Amino acid sequence: MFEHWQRIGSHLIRFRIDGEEAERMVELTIGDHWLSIEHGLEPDYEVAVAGGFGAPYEGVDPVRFEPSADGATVTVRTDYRIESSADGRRTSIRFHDYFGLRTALLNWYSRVLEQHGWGVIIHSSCVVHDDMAYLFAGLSGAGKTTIAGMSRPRPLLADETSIVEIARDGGVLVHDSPFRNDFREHTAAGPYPLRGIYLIKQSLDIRSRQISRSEALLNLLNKIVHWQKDPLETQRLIQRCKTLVERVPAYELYFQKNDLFWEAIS
Amino acid sequence: MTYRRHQAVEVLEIDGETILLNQETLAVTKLNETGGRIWELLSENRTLEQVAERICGEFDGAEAHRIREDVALFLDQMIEIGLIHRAG
Repeated sequence: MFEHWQRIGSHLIRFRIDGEEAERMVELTIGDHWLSIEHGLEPDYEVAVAGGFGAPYEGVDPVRFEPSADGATVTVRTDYRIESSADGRRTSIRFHDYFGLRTALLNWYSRVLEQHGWGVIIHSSCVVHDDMAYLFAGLSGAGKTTIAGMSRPRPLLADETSIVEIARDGGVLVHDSPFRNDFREHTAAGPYPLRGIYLIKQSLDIRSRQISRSEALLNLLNKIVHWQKDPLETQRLIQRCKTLVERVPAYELYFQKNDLFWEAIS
Repeated sequence: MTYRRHQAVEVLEIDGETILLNQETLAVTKLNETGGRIWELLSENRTLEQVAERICGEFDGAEAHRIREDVALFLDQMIEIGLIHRAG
């Protein structure tokens, strides 16, 4: 059994990982930027991880939420199983492969954010420029990773999945995301205030256009990482998205595959 | 015949625009200013004529028969997506 600590968003997590192979998969999924923790410190959340579950996901079997008498939440898909205590502080994840573990961790963390209305996870890359965060949202293939790559050497907070805190003081902050794909370098500083949300579209020209808040809300909803469990949860999520677009301006960004789009932004 | 709103709908107002969230299907629908006003008017059951008359009085310069056609079209579309029902 390996014990590792990591901070995700503002949450301190203790991972207890069963076996070397599972440890390797966890590090592939969320990196190995483990924290050194003083003895006696209590985590916000504890996650036990073990392999040996299920079969590869074929894309047809939906996520199932199974009720439990003691208030625990059980979430199952072909390639992973998540069981969380009623207060959500203790979770056990079993997985089949990398894809299963990655999805399970995202599912679990989206639920952590849901529980306290802390924020949202957005399918997007996020880049730091002049100490502000710029978020580039789009569905698969829109160019999130391309934007991240072209923005270097600016620090990256995310290359495909951003962790956005809707802060109680009225601000919006972006934290370094451990859920990386191509660019795995960790940005230790931050979180950074979110300066703008850019809905990206590859194009032959470069321009940006500010959009209305309602347009921004409608465009963002299908880019939120969320597994629908019950309608009330989804309503709360939409309220958080509304708060987000009320606090941060949103734009459509048409970009070519070069870094000139920064001139249209900043 | 009167029309009524679907009950399980959450209404979000952003910058004067109305966004409706159907709590059963989780479909999200954005209304323009006039659509938002018609939704508001249907807080109580009304007929097409009653709605059209109110809209006509509030939006200067439009022809009454055009407004009635537009309101009828809007109501049909809203019925189709389940946000408004015929109340009988």
